[in-house]
Amino acid sequence: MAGPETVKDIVLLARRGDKQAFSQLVDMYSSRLYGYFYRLTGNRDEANELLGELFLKMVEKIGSCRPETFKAWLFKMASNLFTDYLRTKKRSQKMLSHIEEQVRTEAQMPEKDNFLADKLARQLRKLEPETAEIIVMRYYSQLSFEELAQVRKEPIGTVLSKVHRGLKKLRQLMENSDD
Amino acid sequence: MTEKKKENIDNLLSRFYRADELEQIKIDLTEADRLFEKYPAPQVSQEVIDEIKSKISRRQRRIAYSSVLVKTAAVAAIVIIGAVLLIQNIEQRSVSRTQNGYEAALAKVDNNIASLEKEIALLRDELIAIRLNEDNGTNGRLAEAINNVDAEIIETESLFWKG
Repeated sequence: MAGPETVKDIVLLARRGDKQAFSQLVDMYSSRLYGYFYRLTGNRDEANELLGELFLKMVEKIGSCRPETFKAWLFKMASNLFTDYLRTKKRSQKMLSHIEEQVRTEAQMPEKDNFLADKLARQLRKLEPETAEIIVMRYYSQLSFEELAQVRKEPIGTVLSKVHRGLKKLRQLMENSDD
Repeated sequence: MTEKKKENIDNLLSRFYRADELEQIKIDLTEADRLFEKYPAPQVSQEVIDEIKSKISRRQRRIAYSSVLVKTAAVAAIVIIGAVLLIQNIEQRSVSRTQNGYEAALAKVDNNIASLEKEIALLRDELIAIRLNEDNGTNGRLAEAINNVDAEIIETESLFWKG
């Protein structure tokens, strides 16, 4: 029997509880989603945790997803998870001071791959979280501006303008950085 | 919806930016892609992927188990509600039948009473008429007729009270 050809077919199989289909979806999207979470958190452990949480949510909620827009649906869920993650972080002042401490440590040891390990991650952290998120999502999801606008429930012009302004700033930060 | 690789960026940008801005914006967007390619994020480890897949299997089993539980509970609830409704229906029918029988019996008794009452009234009228005639002229045959009527009334009344 021939295997499913498209994402739509795989999603339809997953919706019927097909274990193999879920496994395929994990293989197809784990790399991009891990990149998305890693770029936003700058931390491997947290990216792993968010990735695991996201795929479990996918299993629970796949019945409510339209197979044609699966990728946008998945990244929307990833974005919601990241927003929750940020909220939880903000709630804990202790945690924030701990992160600042870590940032300082990481700045002294740029080779260590745990927190804000590379130049891009460090500069992304200097942007507004919302701006960083939309730029990172654009790159890792490979969604069009039209799809991004639908995921974010914002007009396409607004999304375009946010991405462009954010990228300009990111570019300046990268150029001015002495790393 | 169009995917990133298929979207017509020139067409999109021209809707929101002036012609002289377009080239710079396109450069900025391309530069961003180049930046992410230059600094790739680390790859997720196979160990993490395997762990996720095994968690998914466990979650699927839990969801399937919950689903069976929910379906069983729903069927049980339907059966219970159906049984309760059926029992109520049977009880109502039984009460209704009893009531109908009782009402029919009462109606029959009422009819009997009414007919007996009518008969008594007729006999009384007959008696009054005979007594009036008796005042006018007494003879042996008339007295006998009166006695007969009296006896008939007594018999009818006793029948009435017997039911």
